[in-house]
Amino acid sequence: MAKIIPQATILEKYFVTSTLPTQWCPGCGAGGIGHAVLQAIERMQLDPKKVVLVSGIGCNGHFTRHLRLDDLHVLHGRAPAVATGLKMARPDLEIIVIQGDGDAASIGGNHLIHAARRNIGITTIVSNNYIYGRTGGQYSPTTPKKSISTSSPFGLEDPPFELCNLMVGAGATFVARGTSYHIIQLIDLVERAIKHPGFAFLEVIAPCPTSYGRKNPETGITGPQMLQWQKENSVSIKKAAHMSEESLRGKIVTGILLDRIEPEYSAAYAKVRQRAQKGGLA
Amino acid sequence: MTTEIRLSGSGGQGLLFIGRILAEAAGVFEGKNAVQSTSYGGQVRGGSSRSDVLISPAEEEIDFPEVMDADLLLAMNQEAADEYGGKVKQSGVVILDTTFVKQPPKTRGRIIAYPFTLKTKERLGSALPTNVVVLAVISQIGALVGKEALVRAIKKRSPKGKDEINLQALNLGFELVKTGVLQRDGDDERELH
Amino acid sequence: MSREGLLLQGNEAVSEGAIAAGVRFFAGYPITPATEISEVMARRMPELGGTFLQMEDEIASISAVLGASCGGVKAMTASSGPGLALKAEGIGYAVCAEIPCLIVNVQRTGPGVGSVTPSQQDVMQAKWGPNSDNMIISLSPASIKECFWLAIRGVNLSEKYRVPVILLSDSFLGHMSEKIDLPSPEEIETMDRPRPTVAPEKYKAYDADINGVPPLANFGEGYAVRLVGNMHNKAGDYSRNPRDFDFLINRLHNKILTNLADICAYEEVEIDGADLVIVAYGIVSRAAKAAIRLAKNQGMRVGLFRPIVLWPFPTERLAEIGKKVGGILVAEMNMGQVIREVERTTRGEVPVAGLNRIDGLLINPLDILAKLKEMG
Repeated sequence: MAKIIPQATILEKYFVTSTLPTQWCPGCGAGGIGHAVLQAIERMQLDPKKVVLVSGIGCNGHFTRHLRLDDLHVLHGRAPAVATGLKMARPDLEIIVIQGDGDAASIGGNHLIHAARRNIGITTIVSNNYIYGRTGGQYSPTTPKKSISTSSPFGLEDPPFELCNLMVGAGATFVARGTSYHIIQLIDLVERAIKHPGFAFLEVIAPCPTSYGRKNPETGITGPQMLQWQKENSVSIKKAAHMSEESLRGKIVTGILLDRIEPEYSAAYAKVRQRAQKGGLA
Repeated sequence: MTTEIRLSGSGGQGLLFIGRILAEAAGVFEGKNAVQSTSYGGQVRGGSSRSDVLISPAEEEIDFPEVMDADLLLAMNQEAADEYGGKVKQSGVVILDTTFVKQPPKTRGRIIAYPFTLKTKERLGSALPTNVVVLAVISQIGALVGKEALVRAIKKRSPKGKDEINLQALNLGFELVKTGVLQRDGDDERELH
Repeated sequence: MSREGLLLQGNEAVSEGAIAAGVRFFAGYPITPATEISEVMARRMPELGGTFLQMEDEIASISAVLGASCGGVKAMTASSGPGLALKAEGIGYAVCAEIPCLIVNVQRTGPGVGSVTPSQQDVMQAKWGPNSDNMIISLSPASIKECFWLAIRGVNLSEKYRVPVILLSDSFLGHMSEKIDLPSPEEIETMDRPRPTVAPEKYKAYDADINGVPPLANFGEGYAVRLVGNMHNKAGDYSRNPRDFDFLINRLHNKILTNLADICAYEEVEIDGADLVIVAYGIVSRAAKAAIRLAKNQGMRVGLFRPIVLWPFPTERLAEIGKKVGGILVAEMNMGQVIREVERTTRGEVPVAGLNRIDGLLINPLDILAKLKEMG
């Protein structure tokens, strides 16, 4: 297992401290995910000049606003499309997209699946806390059935998206899932996702005690309780391989679910340029 | 003086193509001013089609880009003939393809009627390049543009492998004018207005 | 200088102009009557080492353009009214985040899906399409030559002022062909976004005085460029401070409004001594010119005022003209959009009449002539 870099080092190197404190509630998952991203960047010794964060609307997107890195804090759901344009224009950049479940799976769902289909070389990290936190706790496309939220006061009947399966179906070449509780594993997953040459998708199951936990106590009410629930309900992909469908129901399967190599889109497009410059189809 | 040419008929008759050829020949290869415009809609999938070309001497800008009263009207179907026949100058010429136009329209202009599509098929084995035959005829009758410029524009704009047949069609059009066959065959319709 | 002229369609000329201005990134979504721009760019961008992307929708197209522009590559998209309705979000974002880009609207007819015939019905959409107060620049070409040159001007203005520029073509102009003599590259002035003059660690993406355009560093250069479409302070920090809101929204307006002499452009024809003046823009201005000829033959003295830059509107000059003439006729292919600006500008000091056409056909010179006669 790789080492953990002291928090002070991360803070000093990456944060615009005048922007602190953050606006997150106690127990929020966003800070931990952000920390894992920075740990991975630092551990990989990426050149900070070449790292660009593209973040969406919502609590999670706010993380990037505190950093001394190139950052585009974009419109709701559009981050994968913006990142696609940027990567095509500047393939030299390492682009990390930070989204929440509402941003990625709902208003930006179309952009997410097409970024996956193209296999554009960006890393998309989606914090899935089952809720629209920033707007006050409405249900999202990943909210479990029967959940109580401010927009499902009588319990939700919408079936949720299973985001990782969606990404596999859309053609993503790297799909992984982690949790806020398994922070060491999460750093590793972020690192693997960044290293992946094509479109890398990482779902992080994250707690939102304020908007989800308080109304849905079965997965924990406070932040620590929700992390405890994650711990008790997670199964690694290795273990899951030997478990029945029945026993996997309701479990969070963590780890790298898919990892395959296909031509990365910005690199593949270089061939289009070559053919165009030679004056025709090869 | 701006010469106003309206090419009208059905989608698929290649009127947009010859409109562009004419504008390119006059504008680019003979240094005049030329504007070509298209009535939008049916030309992609059939239906009516219209292509206007305006040509003026180099020193004279073309302002309004559509034909108001045509100096030359080509009508390749009945509908077009009926619709545009009335919008022709007194001194104008109406060219009808009698393969499709059975009733000469009401018009102030002089009518030249000839079964262009039928004759093109007879002479060249295909009706497809009828548009280019007509282009040659119009260019001659209106003294719009020389043959050399037309040849250059056709070579530039013809799809791959089609320039040869198009050049044959151009020659056929020139021949029709030169031999006077158009005027003879058109006699019947001349005095209709 | 000997060079061969070309016969180009409006849509082709816009594409070539943008390329000449340095555009090397195009993202679009198929929509008639703008598709030829995509088709030209699908060939030309990779030929030139640039990028063409057909995105999953209109919103994605403008989003990708914004991403590319942040990377320092001049970028554009093209669409028509219904597509612009979707792109409005991204355009508003570009206004606030101050990201240069060119957006072409090849206007079509009617609300909803409408039809693909020409119109000028998106003039107000260009100005007010996105939410809230926006200050954009919008250009209105009237010929193929202008399609080319205004595409260049549009890219240049967007870079110089860090603002989205909307080029308002229409489906007639887009498909009309005219001869154009393409200039050689050295005859074309291109402009780039203002570059930072401070050390990277001192850089702030929105650091300018109340009338200023902040320098823009590109991503990947070590400036930690933090761009944002939320209300923000000079550093690009998310702000809830009313003073920041006030400063920012004022500055976004002022950077354009204090530079009208540089930005505004219009054409005047026989304004001196005219009894009546036609205000017309884009393709309609050509019918107006023909109408002026016809009117002259009948002893009338009619002039033309043609805004080439529609937004910001050339208020100052038109107000002067309004004081000198007996009446203004605003001819436009919509239900009366620019006429509202003309009325606001002339403040009731001169009679203003409208001639409108919304059936997808061009306003004819004879229609204008008849209206002029009516106005006396």
